[in-house]
Amino acid sequence: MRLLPVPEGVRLGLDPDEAQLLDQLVSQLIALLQSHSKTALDPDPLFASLEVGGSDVLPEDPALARLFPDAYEGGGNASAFRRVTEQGLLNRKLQDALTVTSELGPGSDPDDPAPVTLEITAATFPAWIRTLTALRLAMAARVGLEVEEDHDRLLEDEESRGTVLVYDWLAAILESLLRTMERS
Amino acid sequence: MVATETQPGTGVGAEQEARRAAAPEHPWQTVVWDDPVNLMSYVSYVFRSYFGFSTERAEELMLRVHHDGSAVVAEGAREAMEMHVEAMHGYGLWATVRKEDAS
Repeated sequence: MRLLPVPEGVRLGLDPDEAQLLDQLVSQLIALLQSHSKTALDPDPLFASLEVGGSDVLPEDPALARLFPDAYEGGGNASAFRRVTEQGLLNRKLQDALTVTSELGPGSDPDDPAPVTLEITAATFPAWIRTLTALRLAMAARVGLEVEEDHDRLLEDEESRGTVLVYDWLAAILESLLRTMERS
Repeated sequence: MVATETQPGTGVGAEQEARRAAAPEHPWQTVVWDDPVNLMSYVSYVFRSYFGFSTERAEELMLRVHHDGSAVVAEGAREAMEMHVEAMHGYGLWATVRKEDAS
């Protein structure tokens, strides 16, 4: 992973296997979001982002529960609020993730060994960092990373080690993106 | 948790009580909670880009979330706080709306 500030924003360079991994992860996030969606994504981004008709309970899946937390600490208000906001929030997360895969897509051909270079502009930057964050939140929920101390333990556990390494790699991309974007 | 203000330099305690009495239509807060996933730099970025806070203010609030477990990042009408919380969830931050009295 290489990052370079350019006038339009940030140039992100990924090795082919890195681009493929990121594309796979974001595709999994899209599948997770779609599994929770109550409607097809409206092709008009504005309508999609305003759509109502979400569920009214905290999702059972821990990853979805972390992506769509309760907005109130107490039951009734949280349900009422979720009903009118969750689907729109889900659609915006989907749009963010689709923005990232559409930029990764053309370069992540497994038969093409060339490194992938893409430019993240001020317009697409929020979608990128929100999606990287959503991925990390989902992965943390999957391996049970609930307090800071869990990190090192999960890194040593053979079963979760791979996930934690990728989780840390995503953090490194996110951190570098934030730092580089500030300088551009 | 330590009571916080959205405006730097505004006092807490008695002054907050007085302000609450003077503005009963604004008893709601946006609370951001600490989590082990989000990067400090990212939380600070969200505070700057979404709320328009200065770097200094954003860092201060981010550190408050990190050290105290949560921080009040905005106060005002309920609808506005709900909008903020929805936006925070959009960024992946853990946030809730609550009545000021509950703090």
